[in-house]
Amino acid sequence: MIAWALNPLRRQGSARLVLIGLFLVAHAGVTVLVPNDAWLTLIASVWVLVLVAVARPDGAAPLMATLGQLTVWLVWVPRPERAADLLPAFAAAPLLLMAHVCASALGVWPPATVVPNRARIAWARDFGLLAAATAGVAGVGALVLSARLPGSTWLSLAALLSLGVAAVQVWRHTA
Amino acid sequence: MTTPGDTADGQADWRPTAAQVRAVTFGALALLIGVLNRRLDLIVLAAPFVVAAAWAARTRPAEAPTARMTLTPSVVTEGDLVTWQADLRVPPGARDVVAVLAPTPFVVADSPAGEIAALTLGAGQRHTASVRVSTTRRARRWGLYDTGAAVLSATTVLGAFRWTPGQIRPTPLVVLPDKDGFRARAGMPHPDGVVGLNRGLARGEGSDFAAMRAYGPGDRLSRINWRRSTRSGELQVSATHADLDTHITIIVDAFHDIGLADGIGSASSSLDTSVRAATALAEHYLRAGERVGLLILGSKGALPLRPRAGRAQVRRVQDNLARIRPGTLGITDDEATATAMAQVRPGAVVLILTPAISRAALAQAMRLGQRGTTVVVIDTLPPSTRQPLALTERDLDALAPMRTRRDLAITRTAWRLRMLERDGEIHRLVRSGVPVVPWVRHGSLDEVLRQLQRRARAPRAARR
Repeated sequence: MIAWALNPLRRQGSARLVLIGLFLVAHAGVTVLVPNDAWLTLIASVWVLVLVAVARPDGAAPLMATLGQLTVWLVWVPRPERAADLLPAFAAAPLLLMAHVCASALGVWPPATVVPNRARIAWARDFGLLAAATAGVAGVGALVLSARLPGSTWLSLAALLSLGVAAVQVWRHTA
Repeated sequence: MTTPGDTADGQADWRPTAAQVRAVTFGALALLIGVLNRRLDLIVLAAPFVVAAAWAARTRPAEAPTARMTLTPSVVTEGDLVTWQADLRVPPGARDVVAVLAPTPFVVADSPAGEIAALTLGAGQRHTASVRVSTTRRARRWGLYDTGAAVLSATTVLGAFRWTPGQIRPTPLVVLPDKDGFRARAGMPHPDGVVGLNRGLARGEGSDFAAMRAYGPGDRLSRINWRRSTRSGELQVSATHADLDTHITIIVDAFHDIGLADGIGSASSSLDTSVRAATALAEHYLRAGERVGLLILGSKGALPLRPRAGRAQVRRVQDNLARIRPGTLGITDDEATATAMAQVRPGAVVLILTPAISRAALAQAMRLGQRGTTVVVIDTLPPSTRQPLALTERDLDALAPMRTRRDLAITRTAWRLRMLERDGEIHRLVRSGVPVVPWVRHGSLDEVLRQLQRRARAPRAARR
């Protein structure tokens, strides 16, 4: 019975098993970061989506699972008032990114593929670059909160957003 | 759809994958909610997704790759390797290339990973690059196959955009049967050809000594026996038996395929044994200078192969055997069988490879024997299936597919009865003068051919 249950996992191949493991660890990490008084049913629903996402990583399930995590976060994590309050978000962002990258890789490499070493290195490097970029954005955000610059927060955030959009647009049209 | 050997030139474009949709949707949604609710933590969560989406959009290739798929070689022998490969020209921005091949029975990779070919391009690629993905599979059983159906795809950084030319259609692959080991020391019973290696009854050019006789016009000088000539005072020559060839017709009974067929090196069905034995017989006798023909019973579209000599005939025999589709002509199609059997030439030695399950094949063997043709029936029923009580569930399912486990006992009993009937039919055949021998590779035919040679030389009553 156990062997039968493990068969689909065996067919995945070692590389995909590692990716599935990282995907689950990442979502578990985000769940842990949410306060304990979170509504258990909602978290359970999110985990159902996470498990569906493991089975069908190339569909809409990973997006649903990520949006589920966002909903839980939005409902149960209080609005950060100080720079220190941003720490859970700093931790959750790379975890969600890891889940996203793992789901993407699972969509690219079919079961039983022997993933080339070059691919492992390239994907790990991409993840590292994105995580570093996230750290940069988070750092600017922390600065905004701690400096308590004059003017409304809403306007500051809007300015930050428009700056980001403008940077992307400039990058797209000039490079 | 694309076929191996065809090219896919920019047939499709780079389309966003679920990963890109996820990055854009989550990033935009978290950013929007964060801004509207003044929640910096949500913007922090959205940041990597926004950056990932922008990065993927920025590096999306401007043009589609081109690909050319090939399957080589298109004709192989059992146990040989077949290589499927795709040669691509990929623009900058493409990252991972993956090809997944559809499974084909008996044309399989040595491991499940062998069905997938994967490749990753360097990140610093600035120009269109030529790359090749390939995978190798082993042809494990003779026959005609459609193989090489595959899905090819190339993706960009983080799997955000995918290009695929659609499903690649399979191409035909001919897998020729390998030969069993076979060697025969006995010659053919009544050679009647022009030139060969068998000792004929008549005297003529050959190597086997027949008698001494006086020199006559036309005798070669090298045939003069000088010692005998000195003693007798007149020229004497050594007469020899003529070395002649024989016309051999190999008949393969493809009405049924009995037993498990797991490919070369594993369990062989009756037809596997027949086909490999036919190849071995054809090669052995063609090398010995005989003329070999082939008839296939029970397979639709199998044309008779007329007897010829030479090495090329081995390949013709293998080609015909590879095209067998067992049971496509029923045992009631007597007309087709009779037409095929009418191709057997008088004076030929007929070797019938059969599991002796089809009454039509046995009846034809008996009819040929009664007509005066030299017939040898070679039994190719797998030894494992001759003991009904020792058959496993898998063996029984191969004999008659079962719906429930209750069918197990019924199939076993039915097979046991069939084996008893078969023994009786073989006994009747032997009593009618047609020898039946099991296929045991080397020396399978030695004893029976010696007996047939003795029978051919024995004096017989002739009507005057």
